[in-house]
Amino acid sequence: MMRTKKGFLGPIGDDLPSLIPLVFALTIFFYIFTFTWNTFDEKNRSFDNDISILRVSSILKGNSYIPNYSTFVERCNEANSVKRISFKAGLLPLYVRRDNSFEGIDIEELDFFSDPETGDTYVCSNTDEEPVLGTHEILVRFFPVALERDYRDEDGRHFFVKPMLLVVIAWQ
Amino acid sequence: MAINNRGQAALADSLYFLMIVSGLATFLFFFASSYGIGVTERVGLEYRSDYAVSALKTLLYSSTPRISGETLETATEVDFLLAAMKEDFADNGQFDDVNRLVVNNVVGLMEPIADSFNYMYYIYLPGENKFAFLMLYVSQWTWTEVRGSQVDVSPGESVVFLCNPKALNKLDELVTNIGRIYQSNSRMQLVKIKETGGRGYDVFPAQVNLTMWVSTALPETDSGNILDSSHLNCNPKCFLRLRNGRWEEC
Repeated sequence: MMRTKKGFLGPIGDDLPSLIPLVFALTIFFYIFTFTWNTFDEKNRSFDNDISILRVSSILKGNSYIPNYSTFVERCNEANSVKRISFKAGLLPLYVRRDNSFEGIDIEELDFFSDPETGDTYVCSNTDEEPVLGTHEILVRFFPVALERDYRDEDGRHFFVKPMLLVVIAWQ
Repeated sequence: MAINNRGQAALADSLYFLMIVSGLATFLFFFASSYGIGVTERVGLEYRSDYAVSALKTLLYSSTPRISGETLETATEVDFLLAAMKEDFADNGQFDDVNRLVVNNVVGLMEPIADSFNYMYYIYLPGENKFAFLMLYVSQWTWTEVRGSQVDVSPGESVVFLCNPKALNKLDELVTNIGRIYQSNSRMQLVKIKETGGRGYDVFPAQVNLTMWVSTALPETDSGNILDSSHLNCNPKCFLRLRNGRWEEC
């Protein structure tokens, strides 16, 4: 009787050494599983944001030609259908004379182009909020576009096409 | 003996289990780490290509004042940039007067990305196998020696060259050695008034191209500098120079 109980610690105690690697393996597995799940989730969210900002940019840009302010507003209304992200977009002037130069994009101090003839400001947004650096995860995309502008003189109505920069800032 | 081995089978099983789970976890870890790299690259590629397409379209749509020195807003007369180019070409089959205008327009359009990208803009005449116009914007890198090797550390000033390669394949020496390129192409027709005096003109189908790439040092060729006459055939004196954020004549 004594012989048969030699080394026997009970039904659980007998398997205790094997439980240690088992628990260790399960810990590793669930840790990596959670890590993978979070990575997928984060990257998928990032892809969705990328796709959303590209959609907004693509709608606003059209064929890279903005014939007038009403077309810009129409495109803006269409872009507002993209709900996944908050965005603010507008036009900044590009200069082709070397005595002026592009001043860069300051996200917190954006001064979008306003037509001096009509007073129309080329800005489009689907939110009243402003992007805050350090708080929001911010994406910025920009593209050159051609903006047609009118002017009138004694000879009648004329137009010219000016290069502008379409800036789209998106955040969540 | 059999009694002394009690529990060892369970231990072996759990070690096998640990081994399998470790393999699975390693696979999951590497899969998760590399997940989406291709998509991210693709999105970036799409964006930069889109920029090149938009820039070329905008350039072709743009207006310019007829009188040099005026601004678009105050010009007494404006015309399309393309019209001004065609008019200049029609005189003698080459661009002379509009070079500065075109360079200024291209540089202005590319300015938002000029810190990190280099680019070239050209008009090629396939029928003649010659370039009507080629401008090259490059960052000039400063070199330093690290453990016996020359390493390019930072872009210095940026310059614009006007070049005239003898054939289209001369561009291959550049584009195959600067990494991934993002480009946009378009077609146009140029005309040249016949020199014989009478009415009529010759038509030249042309290919317009804007190519950009991440700023890098220009590649060296076996026979010397790629800007040399046997390669891109650039004017040794640069056309414009960007120094400390300001453009200067070279």
